[in-house]
Amino acid sequence: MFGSLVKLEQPADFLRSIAIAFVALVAASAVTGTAFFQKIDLQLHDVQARWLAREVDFSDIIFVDVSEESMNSLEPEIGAWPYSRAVYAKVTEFLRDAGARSITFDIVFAERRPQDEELATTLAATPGVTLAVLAKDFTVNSAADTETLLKRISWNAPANAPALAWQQFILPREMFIWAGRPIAAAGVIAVSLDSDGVLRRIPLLHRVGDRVLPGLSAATVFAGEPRPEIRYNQLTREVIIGKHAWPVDKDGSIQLRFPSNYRSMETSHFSDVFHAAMTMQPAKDLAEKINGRRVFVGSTAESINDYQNTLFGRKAGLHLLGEVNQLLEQGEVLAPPVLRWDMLLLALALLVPVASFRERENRNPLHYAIGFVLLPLLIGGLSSTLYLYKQSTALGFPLLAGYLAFVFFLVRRLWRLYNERQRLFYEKLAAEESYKLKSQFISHMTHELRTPLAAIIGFNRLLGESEYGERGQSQYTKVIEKNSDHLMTLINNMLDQGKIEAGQMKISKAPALIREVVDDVIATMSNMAAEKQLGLKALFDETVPNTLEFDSFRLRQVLLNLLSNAIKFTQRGHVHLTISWANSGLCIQVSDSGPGMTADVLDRIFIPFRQGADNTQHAYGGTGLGLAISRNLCELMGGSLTVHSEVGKGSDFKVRIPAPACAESNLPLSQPTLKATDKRLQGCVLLADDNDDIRDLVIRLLKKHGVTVLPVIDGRQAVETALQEMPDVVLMDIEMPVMDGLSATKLLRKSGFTRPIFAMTAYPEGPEVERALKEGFDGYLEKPVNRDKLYGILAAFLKPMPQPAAVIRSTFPGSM
Amino acid sequence: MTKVIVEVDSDLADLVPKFLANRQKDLLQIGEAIDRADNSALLIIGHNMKGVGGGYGFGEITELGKRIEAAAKRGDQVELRQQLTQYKEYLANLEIRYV
Repeated sequence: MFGSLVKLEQPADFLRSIAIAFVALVAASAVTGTAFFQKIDLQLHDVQARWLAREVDFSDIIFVDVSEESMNSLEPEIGAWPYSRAVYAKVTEFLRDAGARSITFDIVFAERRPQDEELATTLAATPGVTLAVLAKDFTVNSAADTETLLKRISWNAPANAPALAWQQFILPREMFIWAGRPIAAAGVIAVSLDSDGVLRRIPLLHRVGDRVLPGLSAATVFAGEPRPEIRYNQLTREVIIGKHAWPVDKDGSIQLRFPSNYRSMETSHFSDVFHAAMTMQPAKDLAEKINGRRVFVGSTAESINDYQNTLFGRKAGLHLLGEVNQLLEQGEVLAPPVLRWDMLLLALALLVPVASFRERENRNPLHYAIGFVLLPLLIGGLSSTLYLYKQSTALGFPLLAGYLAFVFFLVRRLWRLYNERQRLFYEKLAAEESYKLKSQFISHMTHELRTPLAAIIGFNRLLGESEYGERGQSQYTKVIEKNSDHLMTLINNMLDQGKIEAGQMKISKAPALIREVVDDVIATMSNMAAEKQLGLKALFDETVPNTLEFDSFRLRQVLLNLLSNAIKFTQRGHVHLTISWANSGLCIQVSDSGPGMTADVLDRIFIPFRQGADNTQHAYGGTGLGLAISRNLCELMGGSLTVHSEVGKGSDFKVRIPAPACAESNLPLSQPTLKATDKRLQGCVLLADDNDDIRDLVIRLLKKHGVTVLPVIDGRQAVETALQEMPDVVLMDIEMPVMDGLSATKLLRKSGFTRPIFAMTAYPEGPEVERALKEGFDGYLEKPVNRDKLYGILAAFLKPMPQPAAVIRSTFPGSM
Repeated sequence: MTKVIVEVDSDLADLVPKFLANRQKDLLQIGEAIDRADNSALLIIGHNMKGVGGGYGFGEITELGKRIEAAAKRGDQVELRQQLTQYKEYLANLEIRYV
């Protein structure tokens, strides 16, 4: 049942469980020596024995009891105890004549008494009499012929037969048991008690030197028969006498299955029997009672007999004698524990906790409770079944080992729970901290988002409501644009951070011109630096190759971020970019002459949503994400972003990324190098620009390629013309009157215009371009217009055409 | 002043007179805007110059446009006047060679 459950476990866990079970076993072994354990163990066995006690047929035996009542009744006639041996002779004669199957005296006839001869004569004429022998742990002065007598009456037993050893037997007088032939058998009246003083076992054989006598109750079993041979089967540990085979323990004791109905044993008063023997009273009933039964003559009087504690209370020695005799006759004995059954019980006891505490499952505590209850039921059940089959077993030890295993498993489980709780506690703290940071961040972000939005909404309303001149319009739109740009940066940063956290940020390396990237970045930031009158320049090491393989878009993003930070925090002096290259690694250092940072601040600046100082955001704006994103990007590119800073001495940020050198021929085709003026293309291009010089120029360039051009001067016209004429490509200036390029593109996309739209801008590096790309533009063309780049864009969307025809379909009135 | 020689694509020869006339308008507009201290107008003019100059081959006009745009952003009147003077001188000393 449990075997199949255990198989579900992981091998390592199963082995660990076995180890715990083994430790429990060792611990249990250590405990078994203690008096406490032994007491508990005995009591467990007693509970089992009482619970399983059966009824035994006692109709074979009868006691003739020299009770207090008998003694009182007989005192006037024959005097006080001890009685003359003639009394026993009379009683023996009566019992014999009444048909007793055997007569056993629980009285030691060792000393010389009056009328011994009369008793000896009666015994010689009475078969089946067994007399009591005392056994002593010490030697008392004894008759010289004792040894000879013992030799005559002792039973033949092999030397290895287990027997309780004594110093001396006190035998009955020789005349009662030997007259040239055995006239009565002898059995030892001695018990062995367990450590708690309770009688559970009876010694079968007793030994003094090499002479063996059986116990009195065992001797009675063979009363009237010739003295049988004793054999011992070492394998089954059975003492075999005649047709009986009794299993014994190593002391030679027999464990008995005491019955529950011992009170049903028949008793007659000694006085009644004596009176009947003396024919003072009619004795027919008594004689009938005695006929065919084994008779035990002795006393239950407190003053004479000994009493023993048993599982079923205090019992007189006389009663025990008869009871034990009957149990031996009927084979109501238990085999001593054997290894195989004890091992089975132990294995079962350990398996229950192992199965209850199976790992890899979130076990309900109810499982432990079930195991806890199941353990004694299983052990008790099996042990009791064996008990019914006359096999005694260990009981306390398997239960102890099983429960110790339970305790060990429970301790381990509690220990794991404790660790788990600690972990959860710290995780909760971390989650709370993270939640706090996010909350702070959201409140900052809300503020950051609201500020530019408020400006956008406000100025947009002014545009709609007030009478404004060209100057006002320009001013308002600039404010709106600036704030929109800021919003876009915020949102882009958020998106980038989100992508990085989700592991979706992709790095795409390609050969690119490093100087071009750096120049672009410098050009983009130059205005910002110029506004603060800061020196901004890039210093290239001579060893830096022209073409390197790296992700130019992401590097540009990192550098723009570092430069904008450097410029933002530097009030006077310079911001320098130093570019070096070694071992296929590119190092770009951004140094400024700003205020520098303390170590405390340096610890925080790369943590998302944290800025150098709490008031930084209010003073300088920003999301607190820029440096975190930059570092993440550098690491994604396979490099690093480090910082060195000292208060008052400025800061140095170092970007290191792997960037192997490559040939310029590897540069992607998106940077056309061939002069393309002679290439002719077929198609129609819508050109929207309010500046007539630019319009003229682009028309001319397009015309050279044979392209049909639809020139318009603002966004509204662009939308109308595009939807009407469906040009193949749209070139759209961003800043135009009436409707700007962003709005026009948005409107076109909304109206279902899917053809490519390219922005024309003089700010190719600014946020305007990113915004444009998000609004639906497919790309951008930098102003001043480079004819090769223009051709590169057109060639991607227009088919080549040989004839040099260019038609200008003017849709705008006159010149601007 | 020495002549400033600019090489222009001969394809654009017919566009250049109009282009240069528009540049003269720039001079007037810049002067007026400086007088009005209208930096937003100057920003637009500078931006336009930046976008248009290089396309025709007049890289210097793009550069001047950048500087005017930057100066207008800062509201640097001195710089603006200086750039206006330079622009005037540049246009006055232009010598165009069509190639």
